[in-house]
Amino acid sequence: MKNHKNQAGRVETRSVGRGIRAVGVLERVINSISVIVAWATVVPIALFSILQILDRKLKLGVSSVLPDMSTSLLFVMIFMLFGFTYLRDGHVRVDVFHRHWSSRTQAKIELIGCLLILLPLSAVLGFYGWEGLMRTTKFADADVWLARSAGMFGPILLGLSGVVVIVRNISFLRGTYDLVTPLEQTGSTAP
Amino acid sequence: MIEIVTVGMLLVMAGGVFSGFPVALVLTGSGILGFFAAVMMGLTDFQHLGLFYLRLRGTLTNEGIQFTSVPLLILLGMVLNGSGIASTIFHTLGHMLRGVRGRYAIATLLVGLILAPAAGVIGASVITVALVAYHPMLNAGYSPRTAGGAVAASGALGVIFPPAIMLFFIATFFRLRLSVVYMSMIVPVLLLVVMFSVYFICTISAKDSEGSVAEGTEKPQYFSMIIALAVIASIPWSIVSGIATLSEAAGVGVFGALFLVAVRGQLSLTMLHNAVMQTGTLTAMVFFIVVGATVFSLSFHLVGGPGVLFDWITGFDLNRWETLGLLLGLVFILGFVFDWMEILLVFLPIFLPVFQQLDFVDHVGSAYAATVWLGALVALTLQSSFLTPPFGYALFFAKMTAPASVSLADIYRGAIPLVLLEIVLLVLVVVFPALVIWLPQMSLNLAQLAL
Repeated sequence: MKNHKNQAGRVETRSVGRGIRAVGVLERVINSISVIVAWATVVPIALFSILQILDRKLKLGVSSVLPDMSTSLLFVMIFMLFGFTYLRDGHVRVDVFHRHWSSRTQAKIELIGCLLILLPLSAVLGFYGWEGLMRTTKFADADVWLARSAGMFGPILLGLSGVVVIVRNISFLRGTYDLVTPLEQTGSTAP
Repeated sequence: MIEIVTVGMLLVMAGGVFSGFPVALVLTGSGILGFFAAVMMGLTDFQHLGLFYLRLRGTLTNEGIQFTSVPLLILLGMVLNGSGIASTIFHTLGHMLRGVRGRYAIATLLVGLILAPAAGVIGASVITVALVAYHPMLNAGYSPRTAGGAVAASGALGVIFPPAIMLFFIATFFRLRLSVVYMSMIVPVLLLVVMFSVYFICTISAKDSEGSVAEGTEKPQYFSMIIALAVIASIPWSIVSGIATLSEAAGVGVFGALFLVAVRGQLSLTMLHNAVMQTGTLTAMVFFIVVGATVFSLSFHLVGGPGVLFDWITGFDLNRWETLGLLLGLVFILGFVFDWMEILLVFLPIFLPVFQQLDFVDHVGSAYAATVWLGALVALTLQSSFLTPPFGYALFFAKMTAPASVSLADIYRGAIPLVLLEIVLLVLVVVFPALVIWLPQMSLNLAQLAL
């Protein structure tokens, strides 16, 4: 079975250590950026699609620009929201076995996955994103700049989301945090 | 050596996926491991990892594929979901069908079609149907098994009905025109609805045909229902008639749905915020799988994996019908565990060489029509898989909001006859390709299209 759900519930901590407080701030930063990005990409993509149709009648001359803009905005949305989606447990999991395992086992899997896959992946994507940004010339269009910037900052947000999950799951395994992240939490600032 | 790396990649991927870690991350991780294996085998250079990134960026920003339609269809689904239109349509249809035995079960199926745009991506759309449909069905005296089966079937039907997102990916994978894929699915899905409806009419003995509206239920709202239907239908219609692209049509659909919500007095900032954020996260979820699938597929091709699988399958010396059966069987079984996204983006590309050597031109009519037929068979197989106990995802969604009187076992028992009907339809489509081909042939002059 596939798991698409974000479970309801509130993050509660038994003893809030400094690390937990720090990742709490980090999560709020990631959430705030993601809310801005979601609105700044979803709404324009919808508006541009309408403008595209209107342009055929009104000859506004934007038909050649809008598809590029929409595609770049989609790239920004995808890359910038990977981390936020992970923190909200929005990525598909195959939980045929997983859901029968103990919370401690789930926390260990999440920890190992973050250390072995998520952090190296965000480093690789971030590195090539940085390279791509450095190769962007000043003559490039604004939407190219936006997409290339997201190519670098998105993986950083993904990596930071991994850090939030790592710190919380280490705390969970040490008994100082109550929930397996991101499985048993929902972002407190999430809609 | 190539065989070892191929098996190794598949095993690492399977192990990671079944660990419960997000599939997209596992795919990317095993893809990068595969790349390192290819470097060690001397098949590529480490510097070429950058080419993977460029390919990835190129895929995501390829305007030819119209990926921008995905968030718009999701947004449309979210707005419709938040509008409560499912409930209105359910009760309006229930009212229209008074006198028909099993009317609530039939209404449940039809609501599933209305929620098609984002079905299979927004799990909540099935839950919405479940929330709306269970109580009227149970109050009308339907057995828990019938009610559970109807809700699950409703959740699975929308996945393959235009303008479902999955059909967009089927068209992309098989390099077919979206309009053709849309048209090809209409007859099979409507046939399925008729078969399910006849089954319900024949098996439901409850006296729900007196037309009494239970206290607290909605009054029929024909105006809202017609607008909602117009919004949804306008998307495939504008694509088939060639007046708009999918992105444009979906954009118009979003604003049509917002108009509907405003007319119903349910437009609020909270609802919009929720829809925008869910659209963002669901889009990221879908495309993270695209990222993972791209990286995995590139590495898998690099180490020669598809060739190995091709040799294995052709080694069985199967004829084309047996090969088709094997492929569809694999898709069916994979559908128990994986979403259509992983199957279409990861597994089908792996088996693409096998698909490409299947020649059914003499059976279907032309190479293009044969590919449309194959695409429809894959879609129908996936849909059947989603409804098949014990793993079908629609069954679990149907259970999530079921009243205590409806157990998972009830839903399983309710789904089994429906799955059997699906298999009957699948066999019919295999034997009579016209069921899939006729409508696009009539409207789009299929004979002149080339792959």
